[in-house]
Amino acid sequence: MPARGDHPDAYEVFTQFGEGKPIQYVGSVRAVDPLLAWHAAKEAYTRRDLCTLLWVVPRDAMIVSTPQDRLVLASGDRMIYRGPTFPSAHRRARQHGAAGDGDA
Amino acid sequence: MAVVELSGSGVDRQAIDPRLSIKYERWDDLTDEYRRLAGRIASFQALAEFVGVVPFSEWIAKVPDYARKQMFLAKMQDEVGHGHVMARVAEDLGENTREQILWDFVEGRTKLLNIFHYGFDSWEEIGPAALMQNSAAIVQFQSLMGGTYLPYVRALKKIAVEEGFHYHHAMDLTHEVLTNGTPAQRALVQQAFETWLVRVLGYFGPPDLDTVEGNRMYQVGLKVDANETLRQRWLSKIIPVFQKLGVEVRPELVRFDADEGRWVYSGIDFGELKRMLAGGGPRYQDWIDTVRWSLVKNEPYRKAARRAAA
Repeated sequence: MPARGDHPDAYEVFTQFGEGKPIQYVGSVRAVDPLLAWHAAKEAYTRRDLCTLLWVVPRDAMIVSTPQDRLVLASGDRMIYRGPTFPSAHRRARQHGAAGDGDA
Repeated sequence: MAVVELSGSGVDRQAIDPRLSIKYERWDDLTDEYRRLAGRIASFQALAEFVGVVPFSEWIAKVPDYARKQMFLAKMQDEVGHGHVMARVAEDLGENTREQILWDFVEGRTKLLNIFHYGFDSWEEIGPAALMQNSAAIVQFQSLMGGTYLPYVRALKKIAVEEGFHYHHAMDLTHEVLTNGTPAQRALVQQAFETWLVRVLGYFGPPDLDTVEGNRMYQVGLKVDANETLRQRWLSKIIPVFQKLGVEVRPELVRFDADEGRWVYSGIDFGELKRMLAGGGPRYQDWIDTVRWSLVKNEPYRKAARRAAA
C-alpha cells in the first residue's frame, strides 16, 4: 500500500441500510473536497432503499491491513482455544473419563 | 453440437471451477496482465454506462406523462451513477480516469457495443428495446458476478439491483403501449421486438463455445461464461416474457429446438456486425458529438471546483 492507480482525491464510502444494520463498505468516489465527496457518494450509492447512514473517508487517512497481515488476523485458525467449541470438547472429554489433554 | 446449459445462474459450476475459486482485491499482488485486463473490462463498462444514457436522454422532453418521466429520469441518473462506480474500479487499477475514458471515445480510440450505435425512432420502440437491453445486461452481470476481481464484482452487484428497476420500468412501458395503444402503436412494439432481438443477440458476441477456453479474459476468470451460453440463457428468460406480453415470436426468427436442447436463432451476420462496429452505426456520430459537447460545456465547472479546493 498504496497500490498503483491510487488517487489522492479518492474517498471510501460506507453505508448503512436500516437502523441497527451493519455499516458496510460499498465502494469509492473521487472529489475535490470532502463535502462534495459526500454528495457524490449520496448520488452514486444511496439511490435505493432507506439509507440510514452515509460516511466518506479520505482513502489516505485509513489505516488498512495488507495481504501480509492475513496470518495475524486469522486468529480463528491459530487460536482455537478462543472458540466456544474448545471448552465444550474439553468438558466432554472429561465426562467420558478420557485421559490426556482433552481436545477433540 | 454442444448442448448448452439453460438453467441456473452458473453458481454450481463456479463452485467446482478452479478458474474462479481464487478472488482478488485491489491491494492483492496482481500481475500486470491481470491488472490491465480487469481495468479494460471496467473502463469498457463505464463507457457503455455513460454513453448508454444518451439515446434515452434525447427523449426526456417527449415523455408523455409525468410519472413516466420521473421513472425515465431515475433510470438515466442510475446509469450515470453506474458509469462513475465502474470508472472508480478502472481508475484504481491505473487505467484511465473517467474524463480520459470519455475523451478516448470522443476521439475514436475506443469502440462501443453494437446496441449503443442506435437510437429510437419512436416512443413505442423504447419499451421493448429497453426490456431486451436490461434483461441482457442482467444475464451478463449475473454471470460476471462470479468473476475473480472483487471490486468489479461489488460494483456489478450494486448495478444489478438498479437494472432490476429498469427492467420492471421497461416491462410496464411495453405493457402500457400494448394495453392502451392503438393498433398502429402495437405494431410498432412488434416491429421493435424483431429489430432489437437481432441487435441484442449480437450484443452477446460471436459464438465461442469452441474457442472460449483460449480467451485470456476467460482463463483469468474475468469472463465467466461463453458468449453463446449467455445468449442461450437470455433467450430462455426473455422470449417467454414477450410471449406473455402478447408479442408474436415468429419461429423463423427464434425457436427452441427440443432435440438439440437449445435456441435456434436467425438474422445475425457477425461479419456484417463487425463492419458496422468499425464504421459506426446510424447514430454513433451523434453520440460522440453529444458526449464531446457535454465534456466541453462542463469543463469550466470542473475547473472551478478544482480551483476552490486548491
